[in-house]
Amino acid sequence: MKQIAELRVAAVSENVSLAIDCAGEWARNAGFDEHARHQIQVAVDEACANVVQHAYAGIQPGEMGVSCCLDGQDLIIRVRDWGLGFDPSRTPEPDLEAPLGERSLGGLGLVLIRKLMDTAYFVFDAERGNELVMVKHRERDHENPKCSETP
Amino acid sequence: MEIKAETMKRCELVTVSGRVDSVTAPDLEKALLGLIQAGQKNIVVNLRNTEFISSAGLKALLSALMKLRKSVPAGDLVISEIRPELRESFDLVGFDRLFQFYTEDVHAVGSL
Repeated sequence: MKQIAELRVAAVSENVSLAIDCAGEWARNAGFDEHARHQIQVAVDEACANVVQHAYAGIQPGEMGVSCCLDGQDLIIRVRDWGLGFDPSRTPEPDLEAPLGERSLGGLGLVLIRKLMDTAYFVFDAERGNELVMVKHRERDHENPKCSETP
Repeated sequence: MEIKAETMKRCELVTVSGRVDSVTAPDLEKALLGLIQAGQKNIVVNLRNTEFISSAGLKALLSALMKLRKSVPAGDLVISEIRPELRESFDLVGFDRLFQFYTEDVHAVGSL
């Protein structure tokens, strides 16, 4: 059985740090070390910031959901909104090797999500909401995580 | 987030404490751009007390460096005493190609 923790809050800037703190605690309970926890927190911050900025732009304000479960050695974090969603294809991928004068300022958040997490993908669903699913693999030498699976 | 700026002989030493995220990054960018507009050619950004920096913070630093180089091609904005976990984010977005990093303020200031 997978343990699930969930947070559902208004999609406003002030709640992003709450989501990050929760993600850090979930990752700690799941047995991730400090370095991995920081990586997870950065990714969650970027995902939530995208929801706050884009998901309800021009429409009724809404909520964002952040949930996590541990599936074997994988911590699966979902950041969800019920608004417009975030279309990653609309954000051009920055050229990370461009010289200073040619660097674009946007797109860094998605780069960090994709590089800090082992897997990241978007799911768009009119009923369930729009999700960014991020997976972080846990190394096997962690013991007695509180968020554990039971057959 | 707190920003403390100290004018030194050859540069401005800007010490950033706390979290730099989508809420606080605009203040950092505003502070740095203010220094540049006031004529500062060299800036050291000390991050020893910065516990978290998101892409918004990275963007603020990049924006400041771009503005600085545009106005003063020989000027520089360098990073000092960054924590390893934050340095990783900088490297992942290619900022190791754009910024100089120093382990101590004295070296950062001395480089300018």
